[in-house]
Amino acid sequence: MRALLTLVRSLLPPVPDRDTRGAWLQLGAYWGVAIALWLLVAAVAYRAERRLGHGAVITGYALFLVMLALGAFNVRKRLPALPLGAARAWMLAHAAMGGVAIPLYFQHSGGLWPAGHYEQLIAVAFYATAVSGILGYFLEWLLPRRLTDLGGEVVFDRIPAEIAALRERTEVLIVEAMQEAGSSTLGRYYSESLDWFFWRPRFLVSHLVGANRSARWIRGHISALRRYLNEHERQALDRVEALAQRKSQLDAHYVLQGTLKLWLFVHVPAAVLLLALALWHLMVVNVYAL
Amino acid sequence: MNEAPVLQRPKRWDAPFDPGMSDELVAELLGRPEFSSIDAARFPAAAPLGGILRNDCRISVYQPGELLVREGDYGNSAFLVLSGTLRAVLPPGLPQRVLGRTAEQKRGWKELLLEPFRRSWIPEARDTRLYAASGARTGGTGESRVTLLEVGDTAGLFGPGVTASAGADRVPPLAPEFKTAILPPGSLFGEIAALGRVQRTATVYAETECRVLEMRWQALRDIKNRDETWRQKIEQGYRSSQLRNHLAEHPLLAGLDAKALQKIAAETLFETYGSFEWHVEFKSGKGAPAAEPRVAMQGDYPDGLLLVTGGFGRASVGLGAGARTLTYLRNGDQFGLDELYEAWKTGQDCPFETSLSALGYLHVLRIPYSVLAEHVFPRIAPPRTRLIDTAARPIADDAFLEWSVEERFINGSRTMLIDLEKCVRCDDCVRACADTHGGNPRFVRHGSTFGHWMVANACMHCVDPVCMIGCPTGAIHRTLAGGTVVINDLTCIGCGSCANSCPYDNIRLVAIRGRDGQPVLDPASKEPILKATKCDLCHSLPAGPSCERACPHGALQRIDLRSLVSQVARL
Amino acid sequence: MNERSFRHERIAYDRPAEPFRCGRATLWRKPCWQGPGPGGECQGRFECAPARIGDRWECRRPKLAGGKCEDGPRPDGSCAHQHPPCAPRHSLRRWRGRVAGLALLGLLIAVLTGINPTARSVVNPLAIDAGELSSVHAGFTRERGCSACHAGHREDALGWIAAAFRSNDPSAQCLDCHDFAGPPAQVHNAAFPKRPEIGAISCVRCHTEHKGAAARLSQVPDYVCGNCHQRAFDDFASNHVAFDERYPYDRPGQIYFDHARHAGKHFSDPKVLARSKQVADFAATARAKCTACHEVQGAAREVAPMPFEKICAGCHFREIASGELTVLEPGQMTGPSSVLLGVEKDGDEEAAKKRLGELWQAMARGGTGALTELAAGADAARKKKAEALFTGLGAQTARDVASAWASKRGAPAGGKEGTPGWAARDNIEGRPALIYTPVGHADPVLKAWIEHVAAAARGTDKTRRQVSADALEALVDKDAPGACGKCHGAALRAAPADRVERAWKRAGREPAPYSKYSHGPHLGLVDPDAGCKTCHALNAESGYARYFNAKPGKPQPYQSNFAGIRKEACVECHQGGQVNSACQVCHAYHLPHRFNLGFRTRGKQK
Repeated sequence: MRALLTLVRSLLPPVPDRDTRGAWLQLGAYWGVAIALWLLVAAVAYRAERRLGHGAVITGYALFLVMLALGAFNVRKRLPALPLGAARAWMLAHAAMGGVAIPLYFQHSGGLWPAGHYEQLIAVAFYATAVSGILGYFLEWLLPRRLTDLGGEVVFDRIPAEIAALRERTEVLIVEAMQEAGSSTLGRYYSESLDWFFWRPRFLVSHLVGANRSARWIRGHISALRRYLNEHERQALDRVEALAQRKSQLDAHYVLQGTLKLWLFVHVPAAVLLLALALWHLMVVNVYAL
Repeated sequence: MNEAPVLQRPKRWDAPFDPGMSDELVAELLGRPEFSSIDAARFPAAAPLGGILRNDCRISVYQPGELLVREGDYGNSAFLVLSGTLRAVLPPGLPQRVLGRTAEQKRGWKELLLEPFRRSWIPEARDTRLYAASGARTGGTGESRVTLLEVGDTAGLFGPGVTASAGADRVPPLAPEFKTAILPPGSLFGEIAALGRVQRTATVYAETECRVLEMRWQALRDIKNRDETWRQKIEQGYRSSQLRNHLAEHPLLAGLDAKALQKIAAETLFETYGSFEWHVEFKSGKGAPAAEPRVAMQGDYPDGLLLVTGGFGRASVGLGAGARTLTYLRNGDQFGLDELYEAWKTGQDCPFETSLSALGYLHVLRIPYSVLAEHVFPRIAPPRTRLIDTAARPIADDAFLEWSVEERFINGSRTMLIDLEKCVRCDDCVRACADTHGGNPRFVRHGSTFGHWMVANACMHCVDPVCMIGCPTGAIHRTLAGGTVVINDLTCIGCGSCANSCPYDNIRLVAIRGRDGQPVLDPASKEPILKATKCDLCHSLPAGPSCERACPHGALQRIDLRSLVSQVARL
Repeated sequence: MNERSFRHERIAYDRPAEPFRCGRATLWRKPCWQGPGPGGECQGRFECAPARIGDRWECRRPKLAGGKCEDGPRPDGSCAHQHPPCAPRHSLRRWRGRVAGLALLGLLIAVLTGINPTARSVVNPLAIDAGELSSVHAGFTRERGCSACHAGHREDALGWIAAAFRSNDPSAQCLDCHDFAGPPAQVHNAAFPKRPEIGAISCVRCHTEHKGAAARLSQVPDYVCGNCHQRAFDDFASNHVAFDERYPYDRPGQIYFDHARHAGKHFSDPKVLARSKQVADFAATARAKCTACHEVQGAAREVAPMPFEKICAGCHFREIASGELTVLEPGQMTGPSSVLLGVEKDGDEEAAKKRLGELWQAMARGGTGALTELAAGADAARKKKAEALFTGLGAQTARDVASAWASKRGAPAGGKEGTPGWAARDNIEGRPALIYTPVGHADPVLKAWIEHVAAAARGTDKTRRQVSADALEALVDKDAPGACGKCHGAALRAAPADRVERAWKRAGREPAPYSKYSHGPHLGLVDPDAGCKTCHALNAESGYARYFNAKPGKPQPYQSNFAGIRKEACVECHQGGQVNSACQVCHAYHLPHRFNLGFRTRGKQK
């Protein structure tokens, strides 16, 4: 009994799943419980069908409860002070219940695409939520690794300030170099070609897919400009290049961290709509069919 | 209409330790031999001796049986016995149930449930009426007292046939298994905990009714710095108590009888390396290896076992042009056992296989080899592993350790460590921290990174909290129960010494605002009133640190780095 | 920015929960250190709020914004470093919340906005639309809309909501129009008194609407049947119950026709074949083809045999038209006279003669009327049947015969032997009698006599019962005149008193409303003439004859000429991947369906 309790306790975060085996065990436990519950609901619904009852009512209410539990994650995040369990546990449960909601939905609706208009809207909302959820789960696994590989940690909300500071430093560098050299080449090239880059995050798609268009662009411009500069200016140019590379790193952070925030723009509103529609569906079914 | 709320800039003695200290009492104290011998002229005008006695000390009366300090508590004051007899219970000390520890008051569910609806979007909003009302400091010693005479199971405490009744004017002797020492009038105790930022080493109770002078550690510090007698008294007491307690409790010396222990204690030396205020150097110079004083050199012949009793030490081996850190040592660890035991076993000299240097400061007890050979080695099993064996690991495996020692993150007992491969940069942790602190986060999700680990700028609740050194009012203190370092917002005067002291920039001063959103200004200088803020480990919440519990991917943890270093073997 | 921790005096806390972001940051400029106010107003117009100390103004810019500036405030006390105010933007989280809120608002509007004014409901019909109605229902419900079937659909919101807490099974409305030959709401439209737990069932349990215009509501998937029947099976081919081993020949027919003997013996008998070419031809055909006797064209559930005249008369006419029934005899009781008079046939001779004498007297006076009266008794309703007993007997002939017998003279002879009809002459045994020779198959007089006697044998009159029973036995004996009993005997003996008339005809199978089989679609698959043997296999060893030839009082069990039809015969084609083997192919759930007359107007009235 004590061993069982220890096992159960170890499966509940926030004991961090540091070692791989423990992490898999934790994941397996949550999914196992979710799948077991789903099978239970499916079995009860099946038995009801065999007794000429309404299996769809059982799967429907079960699905509604699952959706409420999934939505409760948002509520939990707003009450961090109360001992409601670690967010890690909620996340694992959210993913497992979300995964189980998909076959439960198909069991309930009996097909891929329903006949009625508002039911089609429910289907759209459900697919949007589920697909965005799966995609988002994958992104939350992939993008932190890419961000860490990039190096150069920066807080998302500080990126505009960082870019502004970089831009300022670059401009100061260039102005100083121009004054020193007495030639306006650097400044001209900067205002013609380079300041576009320093203005705001660029090459977003390239950074998102992991390509390096930005580096190529920088390389090209630097090598194009170099031939017109004297030794002192070239030193300044080297420092500008370093700043541009840092800017490129910031751009990558911007787009990757932004993606980690923006996928929720699909998931959360779709989920809210889905919950409201599910409630509506519940009312309609009770008024018209049950 | 929208006048900035006006508050006088708080000063060190705005909130005296005891508002009831009167001039007569101060005069009485100054008349005592302990204080009359001090040269008052050496004290600056801003903090004269009389002022210190008046504002940083208080006189308390204890009834027989009442506890003054409990072993294991954190405390910020020392005590001078004025009259009456006290007894200090020597290790192993009184049983826990007698000591009457109370759990820390946690905030209630209803309040926490309604908090999100009452939040204000004004940054660092304060109810300035509370500042005016507060005069007494909170934190530090609690006001309720535990008394041995009323404790439940007194039979076991006082021995067979002895009855203890409340209201007696003397506490009967304790049962024979509890060893006590008398503290007569004139003795000073508690200074180790107060100055050393460590737990109380012994429980002290009043045997008869007694009067004691409780001195805040700031008072002790100031007096110790200005008077040689006091300095020596304090340091000597420091050494002997450390010696006694550490020797008695160290597992190597367990089971030795009192006589043997006494002999060992007589021969053992107490040594200090490095600077108690190492953080100053560290912040400016980033702790270059040359600044680490050597305690033991690889290749030298050891003459005694080193027991670490305070601070941190680095155990390293020479590697190429540098030194490779094998581990770090802290209170409770030992250095040199392998070599000394080998020497005793084989009869041949065995030099140090590794070096030991002080990180910051290091207190060690050196037990001579002869004592060990006579009393200790015959009784213990051979050490199963040797420190030098860890050198066989790939060099790369120690990179994390090297980094955490270099950054002095080893100091932290609840370091905020973020696994960047799991962190999705959602800021849920920062939001949770803000939600539990009235909308104001108490850490920054940024800091030094190593590979995919980041140590964020959140208070690490250090084993050696250097932030507490300079605080003039004691607003920054350790809680009695858990040892969490917290800042009392009501008594903080915003001087910034804690923020400047913190080697990791984990304390930030914030300009407070009134409930209407206007900045609170000092009426004289019109400078905004500042308050020091930092992570308080959510000690008043039922569930513990909100940040750790709010991370949906388990990326954030508040840990003692030592437990992680042993897990992290790869970059 | 580097990897080192922030200096505490340079960088403040991040505040990701704030609802607004500095507008400058959204334009990629350096954001102000103040940040937007709680109401979204820009607070960064001035870099500091200068303080008046004595008579001078001092800069109060905090360290994290750069510390006190070199220029200092302007003489009028305003900050020297001013910026145009920005337009703070909502944070991403706020935007996300707004998008969610908009989605909800859109939903609310969509639900409440009525696009179709004739829908007459509190909500937008699209918001409750569950799919198109089937074409059969869509037309007549168009006018009334959803409330044609859904009681909960109404105009006021409170009523609509209240409906959620009641039962709203639309099945009650189905019964407005649809009716069945049994209780419509019961399972299989029948009551099952031995299975009280099987109660009423809702129509919508099996028939779901709103599946599109082309949906066929009457088609119900197999698993729905399987859900209810305890002996569940997956499909017909695999584990549907086997047919009863006597299926479909569990009950005897009314006419004794031994297929095995005919096919095996009679149709090959040289004596039969020698009778005539016609007979021989027929026998040869009948030996080879089932269709010689059974009309297959247009056959549905049963393939009835053709009438007697077409298939049986060729061989059996002679024996039917031969023989003569001695109806009345002057000296002694005959079977018929014993029934008429209610006197035992072989009883007291003297009494019999006396009664007969009285009969002759009456007959001499009243002719056939007297006989009819005697037969019908007092009951006027039976007069017609009684008259049938003496059809064709002339009144004068009757009087003449009667008066002759009454005066013990010889009756006028008439009628040659072999001529059908009534005759007064000597019978086969040489005694004078009133004889009736049957005309042919279904001779009316013989038929009437047998029916009369059979009815009397089961009638209420005890005295006549035994007498009639004896007489009946004589009449339906297989060698009796007319040979009625040869084929009809068993049925006539078994028929109850009020059903004797129906004992002559081929009865056909009992109605089976829940199963349906038609020979039609199957005929093309087998030899059109003899392919019947595919399913209907003759069982040469069966004890078919025993049942029909059983002695009275010693009934024999019935065994059909044919081996039962086995399921495997059907499964050969009706299995997965081949011919449709759904339940509804062979079974019907409902009793025959009919519409409630006036359903159209009823629907409109409500």
